[in-house]
Amino acid sequence: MIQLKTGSASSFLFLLGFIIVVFIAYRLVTGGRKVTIRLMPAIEALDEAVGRAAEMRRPIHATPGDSALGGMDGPQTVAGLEVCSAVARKSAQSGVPLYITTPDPVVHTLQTDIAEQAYRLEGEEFNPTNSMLFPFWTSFAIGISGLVYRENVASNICVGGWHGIVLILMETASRIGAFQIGGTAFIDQLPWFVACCDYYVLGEEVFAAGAYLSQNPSDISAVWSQDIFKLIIIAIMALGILIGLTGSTWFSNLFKM
Amino acid sequence: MANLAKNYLASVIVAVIGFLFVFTYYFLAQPLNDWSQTLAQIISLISLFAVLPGAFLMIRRETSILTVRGPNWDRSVITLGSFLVFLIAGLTGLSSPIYLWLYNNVFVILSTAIFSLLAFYIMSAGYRTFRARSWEATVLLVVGLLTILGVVPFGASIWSGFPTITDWISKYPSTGTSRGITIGIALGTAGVIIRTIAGQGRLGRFIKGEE
Repeated sequence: MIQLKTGSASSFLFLLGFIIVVFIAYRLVTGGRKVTIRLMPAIEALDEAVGRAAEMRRPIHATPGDSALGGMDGPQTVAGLEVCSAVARKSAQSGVPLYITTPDPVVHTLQTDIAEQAYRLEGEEFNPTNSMLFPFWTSFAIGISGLVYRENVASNICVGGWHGIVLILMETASRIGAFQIGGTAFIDQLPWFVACCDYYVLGEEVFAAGAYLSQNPSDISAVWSQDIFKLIIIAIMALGILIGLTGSTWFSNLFKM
Repeated sequence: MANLAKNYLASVIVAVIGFLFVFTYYFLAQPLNDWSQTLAQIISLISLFAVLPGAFLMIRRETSILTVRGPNWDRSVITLGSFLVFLIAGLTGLSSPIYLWLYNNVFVILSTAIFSLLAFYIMSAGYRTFRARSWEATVLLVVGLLTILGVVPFGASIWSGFPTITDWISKYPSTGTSRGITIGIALGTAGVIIRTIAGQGRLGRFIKGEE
């Protein structure tokens, strides 16, 4: 017997609606509809970050965040890995040593593989010992801060799912004058990126960064579908405000299903 | 055969397990709910094994520094020594007195010390942010100061209106903007998950080795 859990009807309907929008957007974009993503200065600045390191003959540090692949943080980690992959390719092209770090064992395996793939595509070989695992938040914070300080990195790229420890990394990088590009979708951590980074991607921009880099129709359609669904949500909210002003509560009660 | 497994089997496993987790999040349908719980435990166990490559690379890196007496080789001695001590202590059992002593008196203390560094870093980052370089930074500075004055005890003693202003800022502009950001983040997260389950996500392309 299949039974819908109490109180989850409205969120399930929203999910169904979003799935439909995602698939329609995907069909339209892969069918040839032109959708462009606006210029993202932080992602454009990746070239500057790698170029700076090449000129200074100093390494780069990149990390997909302190989150795992599972749970709600996973998509941010995937977006961070996309940025790390782009940094790895640019580093291989410029011959800049790249350090790539994570506190999660599964992400570590994946990031090592991604860096090796990116280097291979440029005809170079990635040193796997430069992909480092610090398997706990505090050891990760102090491990990468030590690495950034010791190796005197020219640029620090930290886009992904981040918790409180990101400030330890970014402040250390700031003190050695590293060029920083960062971003996260965790609201509590956003101010630190504004405070410490030269360029940053905030909130949902983190997910758009991957699409911006790959220019893959599937990824671009996902960003477009989010915009379409946001317009639908805004319309529902406006309708709710108008109905609420009449004193009726039936519309707001629909969302308590 | 290896390519077939890499390209399709991984996608099929992700699709089936992803669908099962989403379905059991919304529906009660035995035995699917039990299966998803068991699968979650299996996934946690599998991810534990992923520590091994990381540990192997760390040992390789540190021993290579140590053998050639590279820069900061003394740090490699400490890293490898700590790793070995905790490994041996862990093998005696996670509730053994030696492991618990090391955990409570070394690991917890060091972790607390590192977290306490955040207080100092917040000060220096705040100093850098709260400089009136542009009108946006000036607004941030004013709002930040008002919020601080409304929260600290002596703020209310200077003027009783500070806590009311702080309350208004956190209730309306702050909540409104953070909810807007949250909706965007939720849609972004859901979009990535839907496409991953459908085999169109970036994670799938990474697994298949596509750029």
